[in-house]
Amino acid sequence: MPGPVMPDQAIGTSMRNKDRISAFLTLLPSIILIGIFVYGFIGNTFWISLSDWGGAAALAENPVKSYVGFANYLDLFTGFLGGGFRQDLVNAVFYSVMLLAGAIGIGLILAMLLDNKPRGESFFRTVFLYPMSLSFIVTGTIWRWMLAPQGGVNILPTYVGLPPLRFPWLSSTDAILLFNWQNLLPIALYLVSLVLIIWGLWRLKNNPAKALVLLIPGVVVGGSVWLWGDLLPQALFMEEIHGFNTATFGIIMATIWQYSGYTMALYLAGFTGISQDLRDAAMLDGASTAKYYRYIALPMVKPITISAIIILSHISLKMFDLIFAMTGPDNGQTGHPALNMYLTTFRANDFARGAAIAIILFIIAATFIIPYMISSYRQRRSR
Amino acid sequence: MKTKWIVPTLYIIFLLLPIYWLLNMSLKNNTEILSVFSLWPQDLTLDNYRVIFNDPSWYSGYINSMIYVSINVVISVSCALPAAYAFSRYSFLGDKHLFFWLLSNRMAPPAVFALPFFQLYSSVGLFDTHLAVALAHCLFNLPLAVWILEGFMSGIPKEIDETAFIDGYSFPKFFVKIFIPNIASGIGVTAFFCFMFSWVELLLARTLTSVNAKPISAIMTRTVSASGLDWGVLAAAGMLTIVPGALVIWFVRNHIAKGFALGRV
Repeated sequence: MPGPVMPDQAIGTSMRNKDRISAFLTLLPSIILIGIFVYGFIGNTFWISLSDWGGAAALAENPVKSYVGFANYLDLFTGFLGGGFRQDLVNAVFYSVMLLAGAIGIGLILAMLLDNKPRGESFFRTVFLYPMSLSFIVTGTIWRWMLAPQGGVNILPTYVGLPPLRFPWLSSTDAILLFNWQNLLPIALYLVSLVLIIWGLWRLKNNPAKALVLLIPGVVVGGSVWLWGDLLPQALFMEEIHGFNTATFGIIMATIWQYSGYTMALYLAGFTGISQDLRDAAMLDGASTAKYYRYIALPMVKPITISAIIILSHISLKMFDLIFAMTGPDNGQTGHPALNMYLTTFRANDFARGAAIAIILFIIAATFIIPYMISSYRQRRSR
Repeated sequence: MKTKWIVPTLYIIFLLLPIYWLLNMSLKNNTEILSVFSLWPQDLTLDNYRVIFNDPSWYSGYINSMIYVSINVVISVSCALPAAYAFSRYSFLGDKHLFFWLLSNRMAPPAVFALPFFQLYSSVGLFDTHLAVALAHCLFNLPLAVWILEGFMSGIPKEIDETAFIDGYSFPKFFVKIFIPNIASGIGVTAFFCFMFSWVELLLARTLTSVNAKPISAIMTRTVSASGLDWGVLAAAGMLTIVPGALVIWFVRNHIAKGFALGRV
């Protein structure tokens, strides 16, 4: 309900206080609802994930739930039966990275090509948005058929006289970029040091002091893992190989198909928003088109890039329907934590374990979003 | 100059080809789908659509989806209007942070909420009702609606409010008679996005329904898991789920451009 704002109160200089009260009253319902539902529910899920609710008596009238601490989490990451979940997690990581690179890359290139051509722009935008309004189940049905071994994409080359492709898009069991889950800790530390070193090198030109703060720990971490990596505890008592399953290519293609139009429309709006004067001035100063985009347009649409990353990573984390429709719920090669959570909770009735998977997903999502929140908080403050 | 058009055109083909394929498949019978590969139906048939319109287990899915999506759009937009108005018009301590925090709630994965919603709805008897799904979808649609509407509202100068109050409008009358027509395109875009996210969501919709409110997407997955796929009917069902989205996109296509320009979509 709108706050009780009287006409004479809304005008005048003493409105600050009144504003505050009416704003508080208008927002209170939303805040209470979100407080209860979002945080209450997350808390509830977290509490369930710390219990042992599940198994045979899970659906009893008053199920027995006892507190077991982080046993469910430990089991998922290091237990004997958690292998499927670990593969799902690896899939989700590769999946997010490839979706981000594919959708943002294609969207950006298309937006650059269509930029500066306002004629027909709204037509393109409408057409490009259509796939977004499809439900993932429909996308999955189409692409499942397109990627069938004897049909669709595989026979496309025959139209230009080439032999048909033989790639089993959705049923492949090959994997690339293999690693042993036992070595999880050293690999994670190598990645940390790599990120630090790259970030440091990138900073070197502008801010050498800060670059050293990043470079030195990066080199130290990387070097010490290389020297004494054997001393790190192994994450698992047996060898367990995970990698990027080639069967997920098909799912990634379908997702990129669905979302690249959206990123294109986002970028196109951003590019159109840059004033023509700025572009003309850059061109007069002798900038090439490539330089214009590299040094002027791309930095100016940085907020768009960030929100595209947030939205796409969010989508890739809740990817459930598409995989369900394309490869079915029981295909271990193309699993995803969200799917695993659904099956564990509502098919196997292992509520505690399903809740633990959900909380892990939530934490991953938070690691994407919190940096974004901090950066926009800083922007707001500096304004 | 010509080369600039090649890539977008190819891309449009890439975008439309799968949809054409679906349409193509929905007009064939199963033997043709599975035996020969043809670019257009050899033996045009509307049987697949007939199956859907005659079988209650199929068409009830559309009705269920429509009902809960409509309820969701109404709740989201009507609850978001006052909140967005507050954010765009009043300045108070921490408003920017609060606004941002509200949006960030949308990013939590639905998987976290599936089990608590299931428990809650089972205990209050809301399980397997349209309202259950509509309320659950508000979780991510409400913040989005506030975010989009606030962008549109901030584009309306505050002087309009003040002039209306001087002219003797009461707040509710001003809001309905003057303010809402001014942001009609914003409401359209908001409704579109709420519609779309609710229409395509599966995890919550599937978890919270069993029979009476089962959405069409869940019915389509049921057919997928049954032994032997009825490809033609599945394709026809897919084509029919595209229709509402396509219609809504068509109606708001010009307003969407404005939403993109505001950076709020």
